[in-house]
Amino acid sequence: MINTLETASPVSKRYFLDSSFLKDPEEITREYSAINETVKDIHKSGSTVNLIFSYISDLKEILGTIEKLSSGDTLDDVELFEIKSFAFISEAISNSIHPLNILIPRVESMKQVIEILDPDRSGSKSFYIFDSYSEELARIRRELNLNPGNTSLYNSSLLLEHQIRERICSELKVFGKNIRDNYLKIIKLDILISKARQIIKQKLCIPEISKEMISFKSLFNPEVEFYLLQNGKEFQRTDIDLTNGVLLITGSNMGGKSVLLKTLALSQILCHFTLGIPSERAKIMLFDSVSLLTGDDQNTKTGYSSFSSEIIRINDTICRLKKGERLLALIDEPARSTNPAEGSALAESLINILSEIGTVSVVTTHYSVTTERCRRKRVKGIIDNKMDYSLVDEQGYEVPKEAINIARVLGADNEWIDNAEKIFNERKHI
Amino acid sequence: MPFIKDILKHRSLAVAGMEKNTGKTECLNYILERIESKTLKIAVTSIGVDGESTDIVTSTSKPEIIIKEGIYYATAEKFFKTRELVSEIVDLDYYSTAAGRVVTSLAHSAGKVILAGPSESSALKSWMNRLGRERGIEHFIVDGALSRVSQASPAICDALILATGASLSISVNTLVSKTIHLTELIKLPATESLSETKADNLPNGIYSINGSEVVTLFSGSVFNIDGESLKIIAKESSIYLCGVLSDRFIERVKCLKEINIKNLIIKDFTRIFLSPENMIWLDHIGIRLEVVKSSNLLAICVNPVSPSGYTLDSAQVCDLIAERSGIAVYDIYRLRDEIKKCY
Repeated sequence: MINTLETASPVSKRYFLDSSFLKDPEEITREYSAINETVKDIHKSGSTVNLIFSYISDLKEILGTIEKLSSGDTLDDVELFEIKSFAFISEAISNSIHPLNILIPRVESMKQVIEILDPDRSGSKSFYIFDSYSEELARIRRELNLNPGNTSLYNSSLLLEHQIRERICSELKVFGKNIRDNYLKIIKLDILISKARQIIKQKLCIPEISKEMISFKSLFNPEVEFYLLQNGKEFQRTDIDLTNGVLLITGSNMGGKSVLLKTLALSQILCHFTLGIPSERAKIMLFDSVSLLTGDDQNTKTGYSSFSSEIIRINDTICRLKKGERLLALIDEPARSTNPAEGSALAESLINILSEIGTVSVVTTHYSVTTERCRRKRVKGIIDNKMDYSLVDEQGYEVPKEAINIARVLGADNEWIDNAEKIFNERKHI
Repeated sequence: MPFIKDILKHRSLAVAGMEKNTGKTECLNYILERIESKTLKIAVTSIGVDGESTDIVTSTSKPEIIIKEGIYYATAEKFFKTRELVSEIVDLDYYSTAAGRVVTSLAHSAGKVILAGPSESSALKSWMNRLGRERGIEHFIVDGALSRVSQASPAICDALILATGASLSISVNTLVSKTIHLTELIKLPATESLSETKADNLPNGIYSINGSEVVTLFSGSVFNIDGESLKIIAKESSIYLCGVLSDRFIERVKCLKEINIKNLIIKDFTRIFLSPENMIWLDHIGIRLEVVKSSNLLAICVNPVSPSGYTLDSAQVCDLIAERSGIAVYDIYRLRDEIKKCY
């Protein structure tokens, strides 16, 4: 999602990557309203937005130069060129931003800065110590052209140029803060427009910030959907509601449980960075952090088995929750890599603890967990040889037994699977 | 005033030296001195650092690049600070060289400069496009540095001037044959079977070209090709080799029983590293070499003086090269004298 956020200037992308995980609901709501208005503006006055976006594409990293100017240093020609180019970008944006919504940062005019750096009023962004800055300089340069190589003339021209630079910089210094403010506003504007464009392009939605629930209508995973579409397939979207407490999801293998957890984590993080959410409608609660425990962290180098590394990570989550951290806990098949008798006990106990703490959490499992302290959903599973990924309410404790079937669909060796089925059926009768 | 009017027929020109001290800078100064900079917008850059007054490698004196009023030139930020002419900054390229960002400026007085522009093909291309678009620059002159014939790739420039001379070899025969060999590569004909845009999108490997159909026969570096793939490739009549065509590749092809190749297409002449013997062999068995992007060789400049002071018979070298290449050849010393007369 970050890679598909296309800012006009690479500078803004860097600022976005450096931005922090927002937690303040008001700040997030305010930010999303501005994005919402930008989306509307793109639909209403797309050409204006495109024009502004193209101006921003010339924006370069010049904060160092601005700081130098503000601190009273004398800039060299290259740095003055940077300031002048920036002033022209500001001016162009400020002149065209009026049709857009008031929530969008107002870039101010830099006319006075341009007047200092463009003494000939040429309207060109190029810069040097122009002849028009000083009659004496112009005279010396004319003489130099007639006597090329005259060192004393050349040195006095350099001295004069330096004095002019000092004068210009002291005149510009008072605008230091305005230039800096404008610079940051333009970066903000760039990020805003690129977020809005991403929402339109990838059909994302702007979430509503809620205090008590997380709810998605037609949630999808943009990455998985992209690969499926490439192969001419479609991503089956999911509706899901979460409140404080544990939601236990069961279902056959390959039922999309892990993808669902990853998508929930992604959407949550996107919300804290005020990016569009991959669903049709979304309500999101805010947390301090997201704890997504999925995959196998077995590491032969550190000596951690699948089981031990998983226990360490789950334990870390529990400790953080107990300390009062507000976490969205998304745990994929806890204690999966040990025997079912103890594994299911560990899973059940975890559900009890999470429910006790009361945070929003989603746990998936293949174990038959009997605790009452969670809501239950099940992936519909294979119907007519086709996987239905939608979630349905589950009342009983039994989990689907479709592993052998799925292994067969995957084309596993017949002897192996037939024999497994036989063993399974014999055990059922015992 | 030789070859100046030919230069103006092209948007971009590369001046490439076959070796250090082959008089490339002299040649560049000759062009810059004569080119009309009052009415035409001309920008000059170097793909390496050029214009320093002493040669870092051989400690011999080197000519400096002289810019006259009205010419746009590219240099790195560090060298821009040491400029000795009044220069109006028109562009700041955030593509960095070892000596800082690339500053392009318009000279308001004449003076000596150190040229240092973007040194990668893509950065150079975008620099030219931007200045063309924003500043209306019509002609670009690119200086290739230190044996970097490959960097002054025709993939960037429309025309080429080659600088050769005694620093390449002090034997007339060797100098002439090496120069002719390169000239022949530069003059390779452009293929009609494959367009530039199509070729640009293909990754390294070998492809068979059949009408508009391009089939991948081998992917990856041609250096690592296996025997079986090579046999399959040799059965095709028209192939595009995306990568470097080396002597080693040809030696392996030579060992095959069945060779049906009639057309061997390479991206441009800088990708060919073949000995004259292998070129003759290709010709002998009827394999025609073609390039996707051909080069327009305008002239050859010869510097008859080697860095150690040995001087070749200028007239003899020039005549031999001109006769065998069919390209206009100029003695850089004679040009230099002409430049001196102008001052």
